Amino acid sequence: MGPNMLLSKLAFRNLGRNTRRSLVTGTALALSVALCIAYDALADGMNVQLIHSLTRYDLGHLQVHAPGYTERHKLANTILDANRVMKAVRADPEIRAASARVYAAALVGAGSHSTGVELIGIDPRTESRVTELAQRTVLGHFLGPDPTPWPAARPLTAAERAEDARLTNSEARAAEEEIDQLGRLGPGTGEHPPSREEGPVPQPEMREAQRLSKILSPRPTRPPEVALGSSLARVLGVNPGDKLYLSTQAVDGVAEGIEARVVGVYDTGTSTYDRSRIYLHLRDLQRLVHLGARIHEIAAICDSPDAAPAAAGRIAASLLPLKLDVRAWSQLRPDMVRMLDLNRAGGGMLAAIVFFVASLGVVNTMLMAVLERTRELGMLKALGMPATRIFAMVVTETALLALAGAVAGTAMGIGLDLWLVHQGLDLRAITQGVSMNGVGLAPVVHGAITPLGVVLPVVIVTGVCLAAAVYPAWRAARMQPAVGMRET
Amino acid sequence: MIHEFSPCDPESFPRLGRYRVRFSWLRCAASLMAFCAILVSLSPAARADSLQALVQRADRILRGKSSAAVVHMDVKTHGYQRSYKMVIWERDDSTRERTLVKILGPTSWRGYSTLKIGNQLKFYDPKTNHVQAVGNSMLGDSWMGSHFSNDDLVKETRLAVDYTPSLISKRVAKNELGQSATFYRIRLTPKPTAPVVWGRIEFEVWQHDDLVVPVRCDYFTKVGDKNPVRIMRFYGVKEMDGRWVPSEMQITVASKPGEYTRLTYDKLRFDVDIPASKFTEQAMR
Repeated sequence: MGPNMLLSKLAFRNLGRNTRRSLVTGTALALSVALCIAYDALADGMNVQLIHSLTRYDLGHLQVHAPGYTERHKLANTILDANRVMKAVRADPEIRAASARVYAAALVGAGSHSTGVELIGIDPRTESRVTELAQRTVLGHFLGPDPTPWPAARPLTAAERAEDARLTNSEARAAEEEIDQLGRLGPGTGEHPPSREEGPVPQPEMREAQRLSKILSPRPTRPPEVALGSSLARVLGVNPGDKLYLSTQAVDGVAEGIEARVVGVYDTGTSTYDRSRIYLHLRDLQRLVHLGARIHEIAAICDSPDAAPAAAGRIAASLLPLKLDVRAWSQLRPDMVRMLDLNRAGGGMLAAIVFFVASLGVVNTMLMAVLERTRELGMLKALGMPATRIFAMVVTETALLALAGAVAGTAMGIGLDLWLVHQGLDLRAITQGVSMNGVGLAPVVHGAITPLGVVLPVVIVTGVCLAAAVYPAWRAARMQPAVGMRET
Repeated sequence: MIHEFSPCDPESFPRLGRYRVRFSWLRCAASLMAFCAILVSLSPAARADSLQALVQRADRILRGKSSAAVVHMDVKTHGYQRSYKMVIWERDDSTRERTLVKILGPTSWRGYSTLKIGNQLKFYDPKTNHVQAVGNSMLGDSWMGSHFSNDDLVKETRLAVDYTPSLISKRVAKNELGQSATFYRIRLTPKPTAPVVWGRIEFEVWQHDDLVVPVRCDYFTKVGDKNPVRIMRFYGVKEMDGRWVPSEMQITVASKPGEYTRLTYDKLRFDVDIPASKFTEQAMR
C-alpha cells in the first residue's frame, strides 16, 4: 500500500466518521450541481426556442433586401433582378430553402371594426419550407398553393382617357349645380330632414365609370384567400369563411381595395405576428399593389441558425454588383442576440451564487472536521507525519466529498434535463404567454442538453471545493503537535 | 361746466366743487407714469387678443358656418403626378363639425369618399363598396397619396383654440393684390392640454382693412427646431361667393424635396344650407 493510497483510505474513513454531516454537505453540493445543469438546459432550451420563433415564424435565417428597405419599407423599393438573386441564394451550399415575399401596409375592415395591418404576400409552396406558419394554423387551413385567378390590368387608351376626363367634368358640373341650388343658411335653418333627394348618377355613366375602373384595376374572379393571426382575428371578429375588406395604396399611388376571404387563423404566440399581419398569396398581393413580378424580400433557411452570418456574407459577395442588403437573423435583430446573451449570462450568475454558498458549506464542514480531530492530528504530527501530507489528506477528503457530490448531482441533473427535454416546463401554470423582446415563447419550454452545460458545473464545483479546502487544510497542517495533544 | 382738460396748463385746470385742485408738476408726472404703467400692463394682453383674432380669422377663412366647394388637387411625387377633382361639403354646428369629401375623378379614385363627423373618420371604398371607420391614430397618415394628412383634410386642429400666439415680426408690404398690407409673422405655441402634433407653428398672415388672409404656415416638429418639416402656402387671392379668399394652397414637405400637393378651389360657396343627409354613409356611396 503506497502512501497515496493510504492517504485516500484515511480521507475516506474520515468522511465516514460523521456520516450525517458528510451526507448533508455532499447533498448540498449534488443539488447545486443538479440545479445548475437543469437551469442551463432550460436557458439553452429557451434560447433555442426564441431563435426558432424568430426565424421560423418570421425572419428565416437570412434575408435579402434592396438597400434601404429594412430602414424604411417603401413599396417601390424592390429587389432588382429578383430571379438572378433567388438563384444565387439557392446556389449557396448552406441554404436549404428560400422564398420570396412582398409587403404592403393596408387598412383592414370587417363589419364595423377596422385597423391598420401589414399585408405579406408569400408563395405558400416555398414559404412552407422557410417558415412554419402552416403548422401553427389553429382554425381552418393555411393558404392554398395557387394564386387567385386575376385578369391583368392595362393602361387606358387615349380614347378611354378622354372618356374618363369627360366623366370627371360631368360629375364636377353636377356637383357645382348642386352647390348652386343650395339655399343660404338662415337663422331658422338648423337640423332638418333631407329637403331633396340625391339625384342618382345616371346609369350609363356609372356603368362607364365602372368599366374604366376595371381596366386599370381588374377584379379577381373570386375574393383572394387570406390567413391572419389569432389576435387580429379576435379584434376583427372573423373566422374562416368570413369576409374582410382590404384598402391599400398601389405602388403607382392608385387607391386599391379588395374583398378577401379568411381561410385560416394561425397562432405563433408572438403578439406582433398575431396581431398585425395578414398573409396572402404572393401573386395576389403583387396584383393588388401593381408590383408585377417585383419582390421586396427573399427569406432563406440555412442548415442551422449559426451558419447564417457566413452564408449571408457569401451571398452578398456573389451578388456584389447588385449592392444588395444581405443579413443574417442575428444582424437583423441585434436586440435579440443581446437578449440571448443576457439569458446565458443569467445562468452564469446563478451558478456563481449557488457555488459560492455551497463552498461556504464545504469550508464549514471541513473546518469542523479538522477542529474536531485536533488531538488526533496532533498525534499524527507527533508521530512524524509531515505538514504537507496532513494538508494533502484534508484536501483529498474534500476532493472525495466534491466528487461524490458531483457524480450524484450530474446524475440528478441529467435526470432533470431528460424530464425537461421530454416533458418541458409548462409556463401556463405560472403565466399566460411569455414573450421576450416581443418574440413569444411556446407555453411549454423544453430543455436542451449541451455537453458544456453538463461538464462545466462539475468542473466548477470541484474547483470551488478544492479552493474551499485550502483554509481548513492549512489550519490542520500548521497545528503544533503539543498544543493539539493537550486538548481534551 | 365742462373745462377743456389740459394737465399742463395751470389756468385750465378743473375746479372740483369747492376745492381747487392745485396743479403740481410732480402730480402731473406721477399721473402720466401711472397712465403709462396701465398702458404697458394692458398692452400685451390687448395684443395677444388681437393676434388671436388674426389667427382665428386667417385659419378659418375658407370655412364659414358651412361651405361647399369643388376643388382640384394636384399631387406631384417622385413616383407620379396626378390631378384629382373632388367636392367638399362642410358644416359646423355648435355640437360637431361635419365634412364629406368625395373624389369625382379620375377613374382609379372616382367614388372614394371621406366622411368626418366630430372626431369620427370614415372612408368609403367604391371598389369593395365598403365603409371603414378609421381610428384617430391614423389621422396623421397621408390622405389618398397626397402630402395632406387625414387630419389636414378634416381640419381637426384649430390654430386659434389649440395654440397661444405671440408676435415675431410685423411689417408693411405689398400683398398679392398690390395693396399695401400689414404682414404679421406669428409664433404659435401649443397649449399644454391641446391634442396637437406640432411643437411649434409659425403663421404668416396679412391684414388690409377688414381682410385677414393667410400667407404661409410653417410646421415644426419640436419647439426648438430650426427648419420646418412642412410648409403650407396660400395664394391666388380672389373673390369667391362674395368673400376674398386664397383660392390655392400648396403643401411641401422638407423630407421630400421636389414634391408637392396643391389644392385649387374651382367653386366655393359659404353659409349654404347643406342637408344633414349629406353627412351619412348613404351619401358616401
